[in-house]
Amino acid sequence: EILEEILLHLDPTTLLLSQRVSTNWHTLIQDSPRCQTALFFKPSSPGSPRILNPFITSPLWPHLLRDRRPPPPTPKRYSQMKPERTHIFMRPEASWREMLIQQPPALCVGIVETHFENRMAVRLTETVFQPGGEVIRLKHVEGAVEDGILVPAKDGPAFWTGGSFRDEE
Amino acid sequence: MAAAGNLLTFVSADNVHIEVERDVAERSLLIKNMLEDLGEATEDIPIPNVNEPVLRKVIEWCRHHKNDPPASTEDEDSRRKTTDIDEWDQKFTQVDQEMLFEIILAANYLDIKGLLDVGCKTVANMIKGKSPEEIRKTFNIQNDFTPEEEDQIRRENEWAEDR
Repeated sequence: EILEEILLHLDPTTLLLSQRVSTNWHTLIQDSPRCQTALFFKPSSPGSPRILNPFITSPLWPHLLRDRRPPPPTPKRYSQMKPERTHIFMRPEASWREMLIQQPPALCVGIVETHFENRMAVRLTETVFQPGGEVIRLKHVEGAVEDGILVPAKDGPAFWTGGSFRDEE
Repeated sequence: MAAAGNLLTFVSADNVHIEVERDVAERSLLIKNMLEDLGEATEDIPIPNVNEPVLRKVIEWCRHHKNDPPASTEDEDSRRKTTDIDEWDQKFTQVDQEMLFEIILAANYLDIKGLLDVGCKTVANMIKGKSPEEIRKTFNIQNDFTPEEEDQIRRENEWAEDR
């Protein structure tokens, strides 16, 4: 009970990796609803403060973009693609696929595209994407990118520029 | 020995009598509720499981924080987000690991939310940014996974090691 209190004070990265400390830690983190929410696996309750999954900015974004654009177009604030690590991200069992985009979870996605050099010229393309009534997990986004349904915005996750990730109540 | 006026007497697990002002003692919700039920405390108050050095540290913390506003549950989320610890508390928690864990257990038992929080944050700061190997070493934790189990968990989460 006290270990859970301690773990809840950790940043998501350390919390995720801490599962490998011992079977006790692994079981506790897997079975704790609060830890699972902090790791973006379990949806938070409606009305909770909105938090973007920080793993998207780093290190996931360039890997979602893989092969879609010429070598790293990612802005400085996102981590850069490290091709030698791609296979680690692409493993079928990689845990990020089950993560939510944000807390509380989003049910549909829209993408903002910047079409001109002039950053002011932003167009909202209503590419609404709804995976069959489920909350959106990153595996859905991955699938949609692969199928070309979603085209990742050049400047990273669309919600930074237009706030077009939204919940549908 | 009966407590006089605003003074209470705690008796530690190792049977040491320690006088505490009532407003200090009431930082502990366990004690506060007990006093409310009893009305007037005239007896010594036994604190089982907590030894004298730990109990003195706990009382020191309660004395320093006796005028803090009561912890509200509303800002629990914002409280969790930050691992900032005020300067006095940082000095207070500069003790060996065993003492730190004893203080946390005592704070939990005595229901002193603020102190429990400070203790947990301090330990969390010791864990932050460390690899599982470093965490095991720091806290002397046995790796009890089979190599296959550990490899499975590593494969699931290795992507996050890129930092």
